[in-house]
Amino acid sequence: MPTIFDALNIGVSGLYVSKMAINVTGNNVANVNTPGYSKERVDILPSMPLVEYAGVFGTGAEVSQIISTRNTLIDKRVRNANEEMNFYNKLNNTLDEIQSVFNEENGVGLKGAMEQFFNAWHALSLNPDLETARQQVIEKGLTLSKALKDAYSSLQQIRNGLDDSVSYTITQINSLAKRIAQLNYEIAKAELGDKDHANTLRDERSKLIEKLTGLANVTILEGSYDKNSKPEMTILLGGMPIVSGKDYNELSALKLKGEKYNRVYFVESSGAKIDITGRITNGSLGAILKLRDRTVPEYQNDVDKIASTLIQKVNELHSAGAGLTPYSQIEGIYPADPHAALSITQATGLDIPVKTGSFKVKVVDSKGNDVGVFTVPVNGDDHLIKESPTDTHSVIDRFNNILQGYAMMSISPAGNVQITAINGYKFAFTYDSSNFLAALGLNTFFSGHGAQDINVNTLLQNDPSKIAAGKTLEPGDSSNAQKIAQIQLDKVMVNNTQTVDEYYNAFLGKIGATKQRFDEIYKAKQAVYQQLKTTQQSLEGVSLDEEAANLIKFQRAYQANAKYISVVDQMTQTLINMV
Amino acid sequence: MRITDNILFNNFLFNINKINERTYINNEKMASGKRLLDLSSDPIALSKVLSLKDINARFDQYITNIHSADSFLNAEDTALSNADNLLHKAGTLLVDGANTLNNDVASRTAIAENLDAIKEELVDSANTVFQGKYLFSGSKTDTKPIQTVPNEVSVVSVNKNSYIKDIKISAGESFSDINGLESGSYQIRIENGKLKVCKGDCSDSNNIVPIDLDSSDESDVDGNQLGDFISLSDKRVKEKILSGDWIDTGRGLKIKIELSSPNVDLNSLSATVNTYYKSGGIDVYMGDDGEREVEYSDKLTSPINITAKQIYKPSNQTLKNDNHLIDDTTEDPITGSSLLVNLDLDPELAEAIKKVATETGYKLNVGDKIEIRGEDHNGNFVSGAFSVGSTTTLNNLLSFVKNLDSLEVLKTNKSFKTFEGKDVVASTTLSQINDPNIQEAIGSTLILKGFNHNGSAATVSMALSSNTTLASIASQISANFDVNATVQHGRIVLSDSESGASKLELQAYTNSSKVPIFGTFIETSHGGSGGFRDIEAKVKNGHVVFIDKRPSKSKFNISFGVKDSSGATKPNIFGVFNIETLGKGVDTFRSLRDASYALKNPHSLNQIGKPSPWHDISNFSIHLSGKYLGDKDDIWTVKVAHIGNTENTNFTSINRNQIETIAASLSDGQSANIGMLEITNSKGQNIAVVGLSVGKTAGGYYYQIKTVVPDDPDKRIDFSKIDSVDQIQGTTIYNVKNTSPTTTTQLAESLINGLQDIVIETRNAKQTANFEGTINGIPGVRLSLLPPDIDGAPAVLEKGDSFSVNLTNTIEQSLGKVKKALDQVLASRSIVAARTNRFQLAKSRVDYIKLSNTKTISELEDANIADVFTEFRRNQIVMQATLAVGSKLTSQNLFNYIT
Repeated sequence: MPTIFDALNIGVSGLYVSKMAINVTGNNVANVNTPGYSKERVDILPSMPLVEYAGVFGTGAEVSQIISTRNTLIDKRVRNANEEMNFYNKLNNTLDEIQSVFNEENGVGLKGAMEQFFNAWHALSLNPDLETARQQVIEKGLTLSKALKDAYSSLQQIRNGLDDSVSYTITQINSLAKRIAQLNYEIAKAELGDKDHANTLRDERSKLIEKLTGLANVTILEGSYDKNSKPEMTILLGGMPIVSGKDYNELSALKLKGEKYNRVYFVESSGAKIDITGRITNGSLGAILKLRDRTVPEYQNDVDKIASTLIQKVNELHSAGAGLTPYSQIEGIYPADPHAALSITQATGLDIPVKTGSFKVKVVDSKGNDVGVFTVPVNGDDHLIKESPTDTHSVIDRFNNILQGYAMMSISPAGNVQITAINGYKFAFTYDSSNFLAALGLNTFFSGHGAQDINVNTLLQNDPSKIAAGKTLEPGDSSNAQKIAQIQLDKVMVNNTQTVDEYYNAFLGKIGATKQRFDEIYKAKQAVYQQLKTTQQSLEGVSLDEEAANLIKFQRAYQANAKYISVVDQMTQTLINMV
Repeated sequence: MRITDNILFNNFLFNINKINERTYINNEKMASGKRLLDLSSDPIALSKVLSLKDINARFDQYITNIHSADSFLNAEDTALSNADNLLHKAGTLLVDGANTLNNDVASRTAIAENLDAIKEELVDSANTVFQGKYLFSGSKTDTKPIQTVPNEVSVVSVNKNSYIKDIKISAGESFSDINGLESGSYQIRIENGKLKVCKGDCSDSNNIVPIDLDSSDESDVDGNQLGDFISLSDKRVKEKILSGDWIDTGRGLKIKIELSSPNVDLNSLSATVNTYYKSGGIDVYMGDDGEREVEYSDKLTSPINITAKQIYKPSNQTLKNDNHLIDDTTEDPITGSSLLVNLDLDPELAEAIKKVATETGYKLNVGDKIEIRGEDHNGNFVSGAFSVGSTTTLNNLLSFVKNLDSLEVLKTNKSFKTFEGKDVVASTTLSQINDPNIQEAIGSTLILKGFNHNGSAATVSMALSSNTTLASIASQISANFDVNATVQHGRIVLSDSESGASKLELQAYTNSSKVPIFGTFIETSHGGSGGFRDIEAKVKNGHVVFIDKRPSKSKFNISFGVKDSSGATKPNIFGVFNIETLGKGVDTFRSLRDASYALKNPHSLNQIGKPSPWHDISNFSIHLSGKYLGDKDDIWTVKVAHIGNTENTNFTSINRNQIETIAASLSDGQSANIGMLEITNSKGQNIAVVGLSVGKTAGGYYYQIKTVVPDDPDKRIDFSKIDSVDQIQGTTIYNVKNTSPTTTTQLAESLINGLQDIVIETRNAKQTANFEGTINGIPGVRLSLLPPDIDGAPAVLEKGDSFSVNLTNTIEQSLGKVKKALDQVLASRSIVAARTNRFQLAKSRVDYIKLSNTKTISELEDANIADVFTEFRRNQIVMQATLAVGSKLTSQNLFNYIT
């Protein structure tokens, strides 16, 4: 049979529970905007009852535990969505940057430069004897070279920036891993009992994990090794445990073995490094690696292809023409293996294969009077140097026989082919069906091999009269300039199916389409994330209305309990007064 | 669903962000006016826009090109219309000039001065500078197109024998239809009565440079004929030597030979002069043939320039083979160094040819023979065969062609018909031929007498029967004179077996009556004219091109035929050589210069043509020399108008027999007419009558040749009614009497040989004019009739036979040439106009495409302002609503109601 003091105790327990509940409500309200905070609830249970023969008497209420409303399932989904959203966000941002490189108004202006370059040739073809038209061709050639170089190096800068982000992101991942491992330790310590009540720590960890998932594709495992031990958290990145319980392993971004770009290594406790670069496929790091290793190089390659095609095609035509003044000496700019068959570029190291055909050399005397035009036949299996007295496949030997007394061909100390006129004669080139001249860099317009080193041949920069507008040394001959201007219309790219313009347009289209696709995916991913976040909030978030209602509820409960205690007090007083 | 405050707030923020983003894009669109803000806005539309913009940018360039071409063409047209006006003026002046009297020196000089000024202006017009470059000089835009570069000759060494007192060499203008010499060392050699010019040393006959055969300019009459040498005994040449005139090679080099005495035998002259010649000329074209092309649309180009050569100079006949050839080792168009066995056709063409030839049967193989046939500038026949070897190149073939000389070809001057009226053929027998001389000759013996190529004499006789075929006569000729004798078009044709200068000559006459039954074998192709030596051969864009370096009208043509090693004809890989440029036109500047010169020096440049062959069988060779003094172009016809007879004879021709017979019938103091030649002009007027007569005195015989100019040239002379020229009223302008013969045979011989130097025209006709020995300054045309130089051959002037000769007056010629020059200018103008038109059409097309492209670009790229603005308004409203709702939502809370 409970005593009157038991009744007092019941009231006190009620007060106590209400106070606790108000406390939790207050805490919820205080944390209404704390990121990662999940709302807490007091779990109120009736106190252990007294069992009498008359029945069971309640002994009031007590707080069993404070429960966090964390929903691990929705957390997981939010993390996944975050991973993807960040992946596409990074892609999107970088493509924005790339896109702005090729913006005609304020980017490198490659398109305009190309257009102007060919127009300058057109203008030259109209006025082959105009000094300014020649100068324009040089200037526009330089502009085009610079635009190509700028496009290439802008992409390179983006690539380098991405590489920097790799090491920066790895630092972030490491610091997150470290803190998560720390929290794991603290949670384990706080939850030594059988209850998971380290709510604040868990909220904190959850927040860090979400951050981590935004950086890379991590797998989060929670399980125990056996029934008795408490479950432990393991975080895998690329299959490697960067966090396992209270322990963590560092990643490092390094350039080993002369790599040009950072690789991501998992450092085992033994110090051994495992390359996991290829396994990082999501999160912002996944995006960075994809952009750095695939997307940007692909674009660079496209720009390079445009540059190398322009160099080769313009040079092939230019080499086979003559300017206003003949040469007395010329040195090629592309060195070749003098023993290799000229048609095999892998062997010669040249960009253009020499084919069977011939080139023509026009010889004039010191007064500029024509001496004659000499045809030098070239075979695909020819090489430069005469290797034995019976060797008939030496171009140099053949050239020197044909132009005996007028000019000498030899190999310069730099390994280039050079032609020197003798006896006061001078020479010019008027025809080349073999591409010999262009391949070896004789009388070319451009120097360099691709977008990185394209430039206007310094020979022409110093002497614009050498620009081969014609084929005869006559000032009014513009036949060659016209042909060069028409390269613009020739299908010279992708197995001769596209013009340079078409190729570049397709290239821009490709960037645009990719950006557009990523943009759409990003928006979708963002919406998913937003939706999941809403759901998470709906499940875990603090509602002030709810808390206000709870406050009222527990306040009323507190008031009621207090009233009850006061009634019991009056009863006790009545009892005492009876004495 | 449980909604927390954060959900509401986050949602609110998310929505505001979304609206802000939309507003941002919207703003961008408004500010730029573009729908496509960056590459990713609409990649498909973007790629379309980019390619359309490419096209437009290119088209902008085309429009620039077209504008530039337009101004170029405009400048050309301005210069040409100026030339047009100048030539009109020149034409008017020339008409005036032609109508002034020869002795009106003052007005003629004034007109000449005017012409000179016009010529200078024309040269200036041809040298028009546009934007700092010469408009009409091809691609040599820094070279003045029309320049006078004096040609010069310097004598290096002279070696002469004593018959020559002095020899002088000078440079002058080449004849207008002959290309001048190129600069270099030349040797002039005089020996055996011939004058040769050689590049280098004359010891090598390959060095011989063909020169004008008779040293007289005949460019306006029938064209100059080239030959290996100038024969010093040629009438015209001899005349020049004796009168101290220059012997003109026609190529810019002139030689003057001063004899140690006037009676020196010209065959005994010997000299070797080494010279250095520097080429040049007056108002020559120094530009090139370079075309300036302008691209006016994708891959479409048009030339815009026209050269001064095209406008003011005659063109050179150019032939080009129609098959485009490639070198199958390189697949490139052929070059000169391509091996002949590697020549191949374009795949397309090869396919077509394969249908008629087996597989690659059309390709040249080792052992194949390329037969070359053609005619040179003058129409002289050239042929040769070239063997294809394993290492022979196209250049080898071309230099072979360029070294081919012409072949001597003789033809009877008369074509024969059968009684059926058909041309005779080889199998025709004599009895079938409708010709009285031949019919009469049946039963007699035919003498074939003459010289072969090398000058070796040969005589054959053959009995003629009614069954004798022409083929049998031809085979006798072939066998004995080393020629290929055939019957073609009713004529007997003798082709020399060897090319080059030839002495081939033949007379065919009956033994007894001495009648040249086939008439004269006249030269229709001159051997040793140089043949294709004045042909330039080159390989251009896969075609073989032959250019006749001699300008203007040309008979040059060439054809190749291919035979395999067994001699069978195979497909000709070269195809046909078509005329690419027709040789035609005149040298405008020269015409004006000549006209001006002629006005100041009347008749100085008038030309006398080569006489046509006799019509019918007269076989005296005809030479005309001297100077033509007419004021108009003319054609003279010389006709054997009258044949003298005795009472008992009925001669139809002047020959030795007739002269002897008539002379024999004379008694002392008597004279008789032998015959008369009548010379009429193109209007049929009688210009002169030449009368031949013989007489007998106690001392012997004499003959007299007298030329009378009738007082009334319009009055027809009835030669059947008159016996002697003395019966014609008129002025005697030439009268020569030879009194040396003592026998009738001597008389006949000396009369036959004396038909030289007959003066038939003088300006100031003088009674008893005696030109003997006074060759210098002969005021008129002289006619020389020379009997065949084959011993024993008959010399016949048959009644009714005639020949004609063209004569020109420089001023009238110039007038014609100025008209042609005007035509050339107008043709050039029409080319310019056609090009202008082409560019204008192209421009409107380009403009139109650009416009429609711009429209499409705008549709794809430009933002629709109304849409954008509406969207902006909508965003604004949504934003306001969202903000209002947000502020309400977040301000409402249960805590507000806790008291």
